[in-house]
Amino acid sequence: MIQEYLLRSLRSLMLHRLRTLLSTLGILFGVVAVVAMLSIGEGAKQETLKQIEQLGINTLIIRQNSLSEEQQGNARSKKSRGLTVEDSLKLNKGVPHLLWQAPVKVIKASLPGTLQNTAPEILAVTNDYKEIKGLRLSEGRFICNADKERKNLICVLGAEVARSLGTAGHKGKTLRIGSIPFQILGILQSTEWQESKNAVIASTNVNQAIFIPLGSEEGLRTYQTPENDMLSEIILQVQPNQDLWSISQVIDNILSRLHGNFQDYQIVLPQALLNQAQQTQRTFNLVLGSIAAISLLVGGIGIMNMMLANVSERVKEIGIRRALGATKRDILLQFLTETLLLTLSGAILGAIIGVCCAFAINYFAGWNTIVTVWSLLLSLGMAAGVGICSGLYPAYQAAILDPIVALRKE
Amino acid sequence: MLNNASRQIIIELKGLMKRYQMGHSIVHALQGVDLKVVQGELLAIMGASGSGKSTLLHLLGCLDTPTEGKYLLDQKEVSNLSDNALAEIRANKIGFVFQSFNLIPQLTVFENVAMPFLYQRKEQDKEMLKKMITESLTSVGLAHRINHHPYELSGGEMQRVAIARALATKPLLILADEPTGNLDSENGKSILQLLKGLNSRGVTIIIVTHDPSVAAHCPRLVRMKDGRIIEERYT
Repeated sequence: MIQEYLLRSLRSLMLHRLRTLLSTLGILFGVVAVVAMLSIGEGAKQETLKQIEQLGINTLIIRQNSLSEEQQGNARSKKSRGLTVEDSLKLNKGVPHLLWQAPVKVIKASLPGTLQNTAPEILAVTNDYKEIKGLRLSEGRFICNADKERKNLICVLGAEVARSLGTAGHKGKTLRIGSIPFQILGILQSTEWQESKNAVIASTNVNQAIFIPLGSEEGLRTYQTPENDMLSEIILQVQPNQDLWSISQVIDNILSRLHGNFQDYQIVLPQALLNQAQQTQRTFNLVLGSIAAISLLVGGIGIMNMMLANVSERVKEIGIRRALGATKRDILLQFLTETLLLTLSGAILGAIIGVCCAFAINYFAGWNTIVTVWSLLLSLGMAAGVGICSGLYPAYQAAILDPIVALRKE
Repeated sequence: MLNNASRQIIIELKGLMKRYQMGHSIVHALQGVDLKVVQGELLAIMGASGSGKSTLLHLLGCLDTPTEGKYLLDQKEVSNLSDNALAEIRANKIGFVFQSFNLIPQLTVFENVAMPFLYQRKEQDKEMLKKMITESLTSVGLAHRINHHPYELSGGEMQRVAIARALATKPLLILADEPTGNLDSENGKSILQLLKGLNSRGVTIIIVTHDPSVAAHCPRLVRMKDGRIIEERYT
């Protein structure tokens, strides 16, 4: 019986192909919007999670601002030396709930030609960096406190750097940084790292980094300037479930005292920024969701309109069917199946186009999009709901026709 | 029909009345109709338009219910059944033939004839169904047109398909409403011959018409005027 209904519905829809196609467009676009929206949302969510992973959880980042000439003069007059190891030591004492604290200095120095393609970053760090970033070694060990104190000329390589160096990148070999040979002490495990164009906060790709003990870079200095003492950033990790905002206030108090009230640094709260990004995402979802809802609504009206026309064109047929023994329910189901088939075919087409859109957005706009099965099911379900709602009235109109009146219609 | 008494009565009307409202006035379409039809009869109901013959046809066909009176179909009271119960009776016991053929243009001849089975709500063997439909089409001489669409047929052929559709489910009776009204005299005659042939094989047929030449083919004639039977005669 159901098969019979479906076949019959399909046939009567195929009878007016153009009309059928046009009337499903609203549903089609609605479903496209839903699928695209959910894929963008899911992509953004996954990206945010990945960023949190890459930045470390419960972290605060203090960054040295790059200063203009004028600001540099200003800084000198206020006796601020920028972000220094000294600051880092003071923070160690002053910041509550602190777990780890990693001062980072980005070093500019020449490297062997084999590394030109990798273009690694050289970072002078301490042991805490490994803890915050959750780094793991495939070989050897990471920089320890003794290395830092003795300013040992050793280095730890990111997985890709080691790979590019080939045999020269093995543990125990030496790597020439600037003019100084550093002994390779350890090699990191490769970690998943995804570059995202719209990352809220730039993060270092540890696979492409060379780590040396903080302090050991002294010999690499080509000339003496105050900047040589400056850190690029200090990463702090605090215990879980702390109010990062109030901790950032404490940090700001300490630093502004040390820097003579001169704001040559900024405190970044990755989670706060990510929350903000999610807020933006939510607004975006709301807009796209409204478009989808309006489109589905208009689509539903279009379909209802077509089905009403359909019913009034087929009054005679309804009369014949009733005379031959069809009940009101039979007629109702017949027209409802037809509407449902109409909306679902539009929805399936829309879902296919929506998936294509998701890929296109990824390709052209570079946004991360992920199509999930439940998003497809949800959009089809919504379309089916619209189909039933807009089909019910025309089908009811068909069902309550008086067979005698219907038969008389020419 | 000399042996009417020995045959089963399939229709019995007792004081059937039908009134309906039309604007501000009440129309008395039927004002007490008594009628008995036995199995195997070929009966013509005649009357001018407005005589109540169409209303009677709708009541006989269970498309409508009477305002007063009794209607026993196959010895069961059907005058106060629900809409669904009436639909079931139409599907199983009655075959309709209309003046304007009333085939569904999108469906093939076979599908048109198959349609009543769809509403019988019985588990039917597909092969068996196919056999019944083909048989029915063969009996009206259209087995070779089985996959054609109605628009490919002549008027006479369309009416034959309609008769095949009415016949296929082997109903208790066939109700024909002006079956020759839309046909030329030659096609009309052949349709009447076909109905007579079916009747001679035992099918009960009631023809509603205003055409005396059609009525002349029927052994029993019922004449109506103003919602009443004014003449009943056997020829």
